[in-house]
Amino acid sequence: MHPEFSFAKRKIEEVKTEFAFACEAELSVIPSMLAQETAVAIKSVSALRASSIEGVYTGLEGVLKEVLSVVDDGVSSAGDSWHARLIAQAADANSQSGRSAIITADVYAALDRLRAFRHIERNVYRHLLRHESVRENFDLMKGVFPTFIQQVEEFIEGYRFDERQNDIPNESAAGEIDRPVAVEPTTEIDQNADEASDDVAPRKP
Amino acid sequence: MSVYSRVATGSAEVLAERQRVAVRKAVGALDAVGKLGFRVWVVGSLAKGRFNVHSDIDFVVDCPTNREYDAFRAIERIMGDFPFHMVPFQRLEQDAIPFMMEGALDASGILVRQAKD
Repeated sequence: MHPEFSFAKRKIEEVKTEFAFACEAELSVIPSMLAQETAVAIKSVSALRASSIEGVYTGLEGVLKEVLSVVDDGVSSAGDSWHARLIAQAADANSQSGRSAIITADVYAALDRLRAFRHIERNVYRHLLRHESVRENFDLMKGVFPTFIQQVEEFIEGYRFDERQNDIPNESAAGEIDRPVAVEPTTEIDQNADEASDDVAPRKP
Repeated sequence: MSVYSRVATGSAEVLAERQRVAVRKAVGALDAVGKLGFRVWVVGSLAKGRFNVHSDIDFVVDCPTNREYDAFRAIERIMGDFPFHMVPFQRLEQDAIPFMMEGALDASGILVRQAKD
């Protein structure tokens, strides 16, 4: 692994710990809470799961932020759409540098749903969370997390700094070189649409 | 014109512009969610005429739980970088509804409010 990814690697380990905690709670704590079969126990389970989703998702964002800070010099937005653009940028290849996508469209789709859940979860009281909705999103998080980590780790391991287009030396000086194939950006941003110009969902491959 | 007057004028212009953008985006978002077949309102400072330069836009959407993602994305698509909050109507507590929905406006209400302001 290139040293520039050291911080990203640290973030990966942190979020793995957060995820392991969520899974451990699911196995060792939540069954006994549900066994009480009381309204407050069920609401507490939902609150715990929602908190786990928020913690893990925020950790995943931290991972992507660090990776993108290395390979793309950051996320192409500082405004309120930053969270949306973060995962969209990770799901797109970068035609400027020639890097491949970090996560697949399927993982992107799952993360986008978790992002929406986190938005709503942060805007309602915990005791008003819907048990089924929280459980569905928790299962979604449990399902996508290993794939996400695998894809990011594979990306980091396979990333070659000397293949970045920006780093390619002057052709006349370096002679024959293999240029990386520029990949067309797949993010759907309709620059001409006034109201819809901030849709950042990447296309399915 | 004193420094304070110039600052006040500048602030008023910034606020007016921000409010124009907010209203345009709010109307667009209300329309987008309405097209999904859900009832939706703007609540909070923009609806109550207390909008300021730091305000975001608060939406309440009446939709099934399994369609909350669609409503969120419809609003987000319009809002872009403009800060907003979406709260599903069904997540509101009964005794919080009167407070939360006080002054709630639909698209036409927002435009009327803007005309008044």
